[in-house]
Amino acid sequence: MKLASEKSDEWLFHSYASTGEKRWLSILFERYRLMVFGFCCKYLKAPEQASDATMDIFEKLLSQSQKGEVNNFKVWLFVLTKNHCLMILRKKSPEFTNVEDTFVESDQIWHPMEEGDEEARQARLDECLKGLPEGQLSCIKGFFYEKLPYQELAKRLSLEIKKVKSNIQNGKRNLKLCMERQYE
Amino acid sequence: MSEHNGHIGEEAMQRYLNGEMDAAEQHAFEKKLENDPFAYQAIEGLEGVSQAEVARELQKLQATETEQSFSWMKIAAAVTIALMSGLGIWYYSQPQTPAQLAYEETTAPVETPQAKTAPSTEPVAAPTLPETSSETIAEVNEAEEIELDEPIAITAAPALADVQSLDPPSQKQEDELPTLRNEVAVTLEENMADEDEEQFSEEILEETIVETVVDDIIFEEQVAQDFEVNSGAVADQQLSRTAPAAKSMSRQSFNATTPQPIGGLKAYQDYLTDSLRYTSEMQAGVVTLRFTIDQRGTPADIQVIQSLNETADMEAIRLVAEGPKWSRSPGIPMTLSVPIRPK
Repeated sequence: MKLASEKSDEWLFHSYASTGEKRWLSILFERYRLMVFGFCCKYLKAPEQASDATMDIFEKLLSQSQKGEVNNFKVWLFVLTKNHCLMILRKKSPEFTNVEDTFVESDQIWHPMEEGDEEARQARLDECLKGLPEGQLSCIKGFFYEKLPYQELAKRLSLEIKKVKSNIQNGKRNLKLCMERQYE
Repeated sequence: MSEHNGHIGEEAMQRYLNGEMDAAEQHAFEKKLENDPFAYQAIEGLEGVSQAEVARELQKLQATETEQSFSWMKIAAAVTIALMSGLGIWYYSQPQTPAQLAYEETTAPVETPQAKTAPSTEPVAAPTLPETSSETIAEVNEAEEIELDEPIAITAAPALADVQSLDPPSQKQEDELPTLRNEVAVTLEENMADEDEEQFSEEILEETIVETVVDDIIFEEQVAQDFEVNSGAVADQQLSRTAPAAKSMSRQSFNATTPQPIGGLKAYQDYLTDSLRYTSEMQAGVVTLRFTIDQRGTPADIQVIQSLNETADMEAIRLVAEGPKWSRSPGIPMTLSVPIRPK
């Protein structure tokens, strides 16, 4: 593993795409196997199904990835994984059509505290923070300012970890919306 | 698994899930998660199911991948064993060269549905086994065990041998054999048409066969060792198929007689990648070279074992010839795979 493990995803991917040698893709997939599997666990619930799906996704990779360039392998794999799980869920229950909502939960990435260099931005952010519901505010502050892990935040606020995480998610989303409003 | 591009690796995920991180590390990890919807949801998924089940499924996955990546090698091993257990006589008595035959047989069991034509060979081989020498049976059984649940055309080897040595039961087989071989050939063609991937197996097989014929005993050892390595070492194993020397190289566990590049393997690999002057005339892939190290530590007698095209071969030779010197190990042949690909 010493050599190939140091190569970038894209290097490995390109190596596979240009030579057809499966080993490159195997090395690459290994980096994401647990992630793909975990993601599938989340939506398919049963680990056994999730590992079947993981295997299928790898197969899909093998057959699809010779077709072209991929700029960001991880994002590409993420989409592939999502779509695969989606397909399975829809097969199971055809009325399951609005999955997208379930999936976007943390798709919108925004990290307020890392980009808030400029003062104006900071001021806007402070303004938006004030507007947050108390629960979300305490979680956002604890996580981003005090750098507390979920677990400790949960302990301190006597909340379930799940609640802490959703508070952070919702807080981020609200902040983002608030910031965008202010930019307009 | 180490981190790539700041990416969240399997090891970190495992440690996080097992609660092996202190608060600061936990937070750092979680912050990464917040910016990584893929990993974020994966962790959610993993937290939501029993860890014992996760471990079991992961093991399963790992095993499947290993099996997939190396089924050709297992098959090659089976062929080697068959050859060594005396069945080689038959091979050599045929108009085909051993390489061709091994090639036909080993290419059939690729992991495509078409390969399912192969099980037809099973009933052929099964009844004849008791007739063969017990040694052969043991060998063949071993080969089949290795193969797991893919009953494959390799079983044709004992059956074919029996044609030569046995009378009554073989009569029926003799009729069946050409069909069998045709099936295999058809399977091969279909597979090649279907997926470029199979072309890879083909290349590998050819390469493997060179090794098998040249020094099959060493090759067998190699296979035995490779079975012990888990899929984590995929790269190394794949490298290792070229030659025992290349294998020890790739594992960076040199013994005194193995030639090694001055500056270490890692540096040598980087040299190969960095100094490659790729042009569009070159076919991408891997050129396998064999050479010896002379008294001054310079590669000599460089031969192409696996060729791509002329420009690619020449470039591979240039790289090795002009490259770092090697530890002086006169007379020991080195086999080295040089990747040729655009940067």
